[in-house]
Amino acid sequence: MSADHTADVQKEVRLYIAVFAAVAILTLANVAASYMTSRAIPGVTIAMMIAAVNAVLVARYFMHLPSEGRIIRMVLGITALFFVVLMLLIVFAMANEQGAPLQVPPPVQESGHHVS
Amino acid sequence: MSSAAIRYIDSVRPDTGLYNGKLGVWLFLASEAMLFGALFSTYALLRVGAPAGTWPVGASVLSVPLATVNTMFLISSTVTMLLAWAACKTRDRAKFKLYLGLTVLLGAVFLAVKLFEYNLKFHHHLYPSTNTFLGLYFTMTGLHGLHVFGGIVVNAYLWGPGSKMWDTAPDQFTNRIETAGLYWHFVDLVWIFLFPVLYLT
Repeated sequence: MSADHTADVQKEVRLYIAVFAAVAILTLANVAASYMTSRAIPGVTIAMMIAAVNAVLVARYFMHLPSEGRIIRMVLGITALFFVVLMLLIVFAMANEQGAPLQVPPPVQESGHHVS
Repeated sequence: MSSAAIRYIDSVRPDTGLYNGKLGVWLFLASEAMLFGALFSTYALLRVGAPAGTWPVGASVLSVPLATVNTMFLISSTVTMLLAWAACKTRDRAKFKLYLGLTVLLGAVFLAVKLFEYNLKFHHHLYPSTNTFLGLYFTMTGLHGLHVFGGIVVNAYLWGPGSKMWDTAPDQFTNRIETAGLYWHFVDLVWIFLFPVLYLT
């Protein structure tokens, strides 16, 4: 094993530890932010933004996503598309119900008439 | 190589640009993302649809300090997993054993704290059937916990009997650690979203 290879791995290790520190600090920042209420920006938005930054750090530096091949990026792209569709279901449901809780239809008798 | 041997387990397959195990684990992770995605979508739908003022703030029902410490355990285990992989690449067996052992230990501590949390909830008569929030809390963290348990089993195998491959097929073994690591990082990634969704908002 060459000295260059070992040095490269040690460089990677330093990067992993730096990213770990960043993720840990952001997690603590997320907890701190949850105790501060703001009318301008809802807590959910702040929490999700910090979580998204953490997720990008993990995917980029721990899972080495940018260096993966085209096939993996394609698979994950399709997954992301379906994930967005799943999340859009909420928008569709809200648009359909106009904010009202979902209504459960009344049970149907054998004769086919609704029970009043 | 015999004709029955599986090829591209330690070398890159030309058409995919990956060894087979890595492609397999990424496809598995894509399906896992959809599994958890469906649960997050369900959570959002039920939360948005709940009558105003009825959805509890996570911190009022759950212990944020305990979950914060637990999050640190899981994040730390992600780094020790990477350090175990790095030790494989530099052929340092002692460090590999140390870091993968720590990964297993931190994962086990995470699960133990989770079980302690569940026990606290049951002690206060808070069950999955108590309300929609708790139903989702137990379902989502329970499924995540099962994934952590699965990861611990795989990592413990690679630390113990599976590490015989260190001498016989070192490249293949390093690849196994990498793919096990990808799964473990995914488990961490899911928790990165579960923690704020359930505890902080």
